[in-house]
Amino acid sequence: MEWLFAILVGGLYSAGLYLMLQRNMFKLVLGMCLISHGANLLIFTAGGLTRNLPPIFSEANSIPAQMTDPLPQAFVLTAIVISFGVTAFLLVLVHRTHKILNTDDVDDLIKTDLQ
Amino acid sequence: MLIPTTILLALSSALLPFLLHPLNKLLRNIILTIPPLLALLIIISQLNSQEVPSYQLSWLPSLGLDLYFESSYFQLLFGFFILFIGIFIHLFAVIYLQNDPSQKSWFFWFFMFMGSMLGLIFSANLFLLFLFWELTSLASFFLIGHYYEQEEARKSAWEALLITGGGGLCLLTGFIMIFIITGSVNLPELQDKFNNTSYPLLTNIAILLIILGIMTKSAQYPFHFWLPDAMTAPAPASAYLHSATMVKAGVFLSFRLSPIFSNLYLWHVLLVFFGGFTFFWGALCCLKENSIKKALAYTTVSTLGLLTCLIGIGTPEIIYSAVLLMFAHAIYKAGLFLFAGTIEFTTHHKYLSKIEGLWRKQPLFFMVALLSIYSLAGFPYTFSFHAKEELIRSIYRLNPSYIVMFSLLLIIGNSLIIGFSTRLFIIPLLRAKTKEATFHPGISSFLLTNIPLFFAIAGISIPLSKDLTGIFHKLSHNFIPNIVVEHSQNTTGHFQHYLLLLPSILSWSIGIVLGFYIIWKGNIINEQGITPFATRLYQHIIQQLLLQSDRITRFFQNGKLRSYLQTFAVAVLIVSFIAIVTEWEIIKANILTHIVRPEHKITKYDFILTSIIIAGIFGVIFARTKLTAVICLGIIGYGMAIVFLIFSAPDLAMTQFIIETLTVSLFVFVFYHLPEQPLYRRKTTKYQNLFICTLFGIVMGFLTLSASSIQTHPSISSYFTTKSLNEAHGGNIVNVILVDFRGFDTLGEITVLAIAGIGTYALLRYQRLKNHE
Amino acid sequence: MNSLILKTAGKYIAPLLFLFAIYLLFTGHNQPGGGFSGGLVASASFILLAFAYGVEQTQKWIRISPLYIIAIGLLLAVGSGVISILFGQPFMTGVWITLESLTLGTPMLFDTGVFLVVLGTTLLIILELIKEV
Repeated sequence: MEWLFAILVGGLYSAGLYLMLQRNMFKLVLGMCLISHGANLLIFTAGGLTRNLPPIFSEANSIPAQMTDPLPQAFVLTAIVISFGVTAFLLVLVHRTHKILNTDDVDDLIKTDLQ
Repeated sequence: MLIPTTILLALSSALLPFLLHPLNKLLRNIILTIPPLLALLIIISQLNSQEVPSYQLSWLPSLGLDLYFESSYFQLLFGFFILFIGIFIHLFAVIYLQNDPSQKSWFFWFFMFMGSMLGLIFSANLFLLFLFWELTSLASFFLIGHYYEQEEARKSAWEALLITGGGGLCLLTGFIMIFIITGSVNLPELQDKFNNTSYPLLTNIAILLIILGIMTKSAQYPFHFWLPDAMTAPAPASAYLHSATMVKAGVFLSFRLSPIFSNLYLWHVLLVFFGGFTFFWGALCCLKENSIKKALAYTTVSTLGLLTCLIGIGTPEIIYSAVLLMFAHAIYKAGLFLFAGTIEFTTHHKYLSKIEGLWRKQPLFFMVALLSIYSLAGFPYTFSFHAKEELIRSIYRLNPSYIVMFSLLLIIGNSLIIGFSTRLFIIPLLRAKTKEATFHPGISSFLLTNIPLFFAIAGISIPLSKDLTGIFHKLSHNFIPNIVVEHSQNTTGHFQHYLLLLPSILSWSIGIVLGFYIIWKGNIINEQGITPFATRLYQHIIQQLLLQSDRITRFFQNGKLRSYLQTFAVAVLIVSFIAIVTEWEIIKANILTHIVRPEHKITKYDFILTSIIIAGIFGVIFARTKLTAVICLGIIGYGMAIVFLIFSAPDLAMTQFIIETLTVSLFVFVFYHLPEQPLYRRKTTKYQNLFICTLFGIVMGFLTLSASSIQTHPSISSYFTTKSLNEAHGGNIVNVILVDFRGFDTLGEITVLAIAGIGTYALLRYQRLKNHE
Repeated sequence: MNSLILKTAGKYIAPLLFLFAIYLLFTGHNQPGGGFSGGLVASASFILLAFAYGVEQTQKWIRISPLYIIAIGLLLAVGSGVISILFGQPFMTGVWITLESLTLGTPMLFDTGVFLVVLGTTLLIILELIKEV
């Protein structure tokens, strides 16, 4: 199972980086989203994949011997929420830049530094 | 509880000038002395108690962060001095700065310093001590730069901050190493836990770093130059911070640490060597310096060197005499600096050779000078004489070869200082060569004369009173636990007394001759003051740092986002490649056994799900309109959510679903209102990018595979699983980890989230406000 | 977006969503849910209203600025950690009290803080964005 997800992670990362290396600013944001998905999946996969055993129980004696590792899940949960915050920030930034400079080319931003 | 109260009291004075704004200026400034006075009373009441009271409040014990204070007799006495001298210097400053428009900020930093110095003295946790240590550096920065309109003041303030701050960082690193070695940074526990056998190298590095911290703070050679330069500060700051208290912080820390490091060779050697050299060098420099305050600063450097050297020798008797010397120095040097300040205040001259004929104009003030310089030289019946006598007696208890070495050092250093004292006394005070004496009779204020006079008298009268000497004799029990201190009358015979006086008599006679020789020659003294080699080196380093960092910045920050990303990706590739090559055997074995594990069967649904996500990825890349790209992004996100759902992570799945919905609507919302521009591909370095990206993806996939197959340490999750229901009362372990086990982490994460939110808000809001105008 | 369907649906769905968010928050300790997902669902309910009735009206219903929600949330989260100090334990140790079958503790307070921060941040970003464009 893991190797399938390894391919997926690789695909997400390379696509994300490829998009970020484009000159279009919106692609930059899209690339960021893909990379954060990739990172989440990486952590999730590294923690081990288990089916049908969520880390939730109501009584102490019902804890199964083998179960999903809850720690990567906790990490990924906060990562998802934070990447949302960052994406929103980035989107607003791009929107603002677009409004002021009337361009969506990343390379055009160099001019703003020189002014 | 009483000890933190004293610190808070002193700190509260810092806020008073702002709270009492409407009051009359003089009245307000006098009221400021009340909290320190209360603190002083508390400390006096504690002085007589027998036990060592401590106050401990755990904050993060796993990281060694505790609020932990203790108050031994020595600490209390030091605290007493800080408050006592501080109150008088404050009263002096009230007059000295009466016409200063920014005096409120002065008082703020003055009392901030007083509080943090008290905190430094009483803290028993090294990290806490570091906190106060840096606070004192900060306060010193602001006090040195008080006349910030002058470039010189700004420069020397930066210099002091960079040197002491850099030393502070070394100190922190050293403390962290100690924490690694012993698992504790609480001083009382360290005493038992510290053994140097387990990590000899780390221990020595830690000691080196801590000594660097001590040397920068206490102005030891080659870091001594910031102290004379710091004399651009108003005189009260020089008197308080840069002679009586703050520069003693390094010495004080070495007092505190000396029992812990007592069996480490490096500690003793470094302290003795650098301290001894600083003692000599400082004394030599003060002879050549023309500015009164700077010359006095060099004598402070010299004394600090002596103290450091003595702590390095480290026998209990010598440490006791060093403590006596430290207190004696605090008293007479405060007086001397205030004296120098008054001269500067009234005559507007800071060079020794310009001030003449003081004794005719101001006889009372002449008395101040006489008594202070008498103490500085360590002539009989002063407190410093008493301390030096104690010192010589304890040196005589060392090995014979050491006796000769240290006595010689003492004689040379002392005679240089006495030479300076002679010069200081003769030139500005007695000699009246020119007709027009430059001293204007301007000391109208009672305090301006009498506070220096008070310190001067205190320096002489302490040894005369039985009660006062008793206080210091009690101190000896703190350092010399077993031996009963022999008072001078107990030591047998006249001969020994004669021997005790021998070094002093030698240095007096040499020093006075030297002083007269210098006055006679005259040309040794540089009229404009001296610029030590270390200062020039420092300036050169700073200049080069700025230059080189500018060059490096220009090289790396060329303003192109793509080249940053490329650099980053290539760096990741190189690092991962090295890691994969070096660990290839382990990775190969693990991955092979892992892939063929039977329990990880792939169903056809998994294939379908993965293909949908991959299709989404291609969709995002090749989309022709923004909307298509966003929809494909949504497909990827929902696919991820289903992955989480299948592999037993309901919390993640739920969150991912909501977030994805919000993200997509956000994207659509932003794009909806912008003119549609085709996502055309402009000509970029396409094949190079494609190559880097493919390689990057392969490496990341490989990393995923190896990360999920290799387990170097046992998982810590079983801890969470077993404790979750019983101790954290929660069945959803993911949630329990988030809000309980790793709550501190989550606190940081929601803070990041809040910052991102507020940043977005500010970005939008600012522009809207601008548009309105 | 002036749609009658959205307005009518929002009127009934938004309160239900918010209730569900509260439910998620409190059940989160034992069932799937918690402060993060609860906060997101709660913000979704307000965003639905904002889409249907406009930002001005929604902000009137929320009454307090999302900035304050964030501040209160952070304060709650930090404050829940400080409580343990008052009991003489290190910062952020869980303190629990049991009332018959109900167990209450500082981690739940912390989770509420997380809920408010997530709610506030999401609302802040999205409402401001709607206002902007």
